[in-house]
Amino acid sequence: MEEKEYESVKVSGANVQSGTNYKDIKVAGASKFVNDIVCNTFKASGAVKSEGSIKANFFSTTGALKIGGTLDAKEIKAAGGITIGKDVVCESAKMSGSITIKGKVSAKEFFVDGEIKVGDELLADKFELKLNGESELQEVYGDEISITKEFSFGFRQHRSCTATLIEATTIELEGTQCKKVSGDHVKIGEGCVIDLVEYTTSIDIHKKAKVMEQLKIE
Amino acid sequence: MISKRELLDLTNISYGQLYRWKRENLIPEDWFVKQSVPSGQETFFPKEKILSRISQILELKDKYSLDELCHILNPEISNKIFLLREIVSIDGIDLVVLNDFLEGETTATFSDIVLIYTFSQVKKQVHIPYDTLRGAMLAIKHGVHVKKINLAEYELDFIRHTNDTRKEEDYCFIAHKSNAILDPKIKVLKTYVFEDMINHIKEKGMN
Repeated sequence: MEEKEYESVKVSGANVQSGTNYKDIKVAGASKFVNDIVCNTFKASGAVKSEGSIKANFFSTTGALKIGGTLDAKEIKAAGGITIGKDVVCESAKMSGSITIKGKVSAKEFFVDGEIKVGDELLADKFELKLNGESELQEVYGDEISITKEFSFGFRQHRSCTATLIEATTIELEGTQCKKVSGDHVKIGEGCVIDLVEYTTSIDIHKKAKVMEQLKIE
Repeated sequence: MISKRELLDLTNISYGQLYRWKRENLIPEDWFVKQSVPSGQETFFPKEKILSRISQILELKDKYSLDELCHILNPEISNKIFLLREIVSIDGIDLVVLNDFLEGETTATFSDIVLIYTFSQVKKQVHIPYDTLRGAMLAIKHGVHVKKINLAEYELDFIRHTNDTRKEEDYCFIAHKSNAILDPKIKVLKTYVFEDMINHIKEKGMN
């Protein structure tokens, strides 16, 4: 089948878009999308609201972003206040700011700087969360997972994370409260409170961390 | 069922690999079954399915790209129409079976190919007069066409039924995979699971 060439949109200022298929979208200012969108690139700044889902190759926004449906993109770069009503599916995502994802996350690489709330499971080969604010996760599965507090000078807001289960090959945690952590190489850092840690190969528990029970699996 | 821990020990794969394959849709999400255990929740898998799937992935992952691997492993029936020369090129297809099955047609759907391939195996492996087999094959072909059955969920069974007068009769039919035969008068001679057949065909490069 021949690929159809769709039109591109480039607007600044308040605008409402009602199409579905686009080539490239570039909007600045208050933008609203009323339908599901399929496009190649989506670049936006300002307040963006989409009532449906967005599927794109490359997706980048700065500012307030609100998507009612799923965000499915190869590459995602988003900064600011981000709310996704359903799932996030991507190869790689870099997000910073205050992020709420009501559904699941499935990513090859998922980097977050700030605070993130995920309503369902998070599945990522590589997941890095730099805590800034209060994060809330459910089940986190992957290969390499790191949740850390960056070294900082001066005043910083409360930095913490809660999760119900974290399972991965390599896990490094700081400031995290979790019921069960299970992995091959596990490093529990400062400020963690973990009910049960299961590990197969190595474990490292910081003296300022609380681990109720640890279990080596042979 | 097998627990996640047992699975990782048995197959020697890491959490990372397991979850990557889940993310890449190489392992269906509904095979991850959560069950309550005294220490909270634990994930279990259908044992035979997951073990054979993981050995398939390990075997094929270096030979095929991710997309190809997805096609090979996911037995959804595609709607593509295949030409006679494409079908003939599949290793394991019996030309007599093919000719009788097509009844003069020159194209076939993927589910037709699955049936042709399966009956080619049957002809080689099960001792049934060919005319009887041919009749059964055509009856099943029409049944599948009329009811638009998704073969991936079915199997082909050959059974021997001993009736009240101790007379033995052989039957062949297709049944949903979940239907177990418990009647002691029935002996299952041979079962062909279409999902396996589909995997064989896909491994031969058809999809």
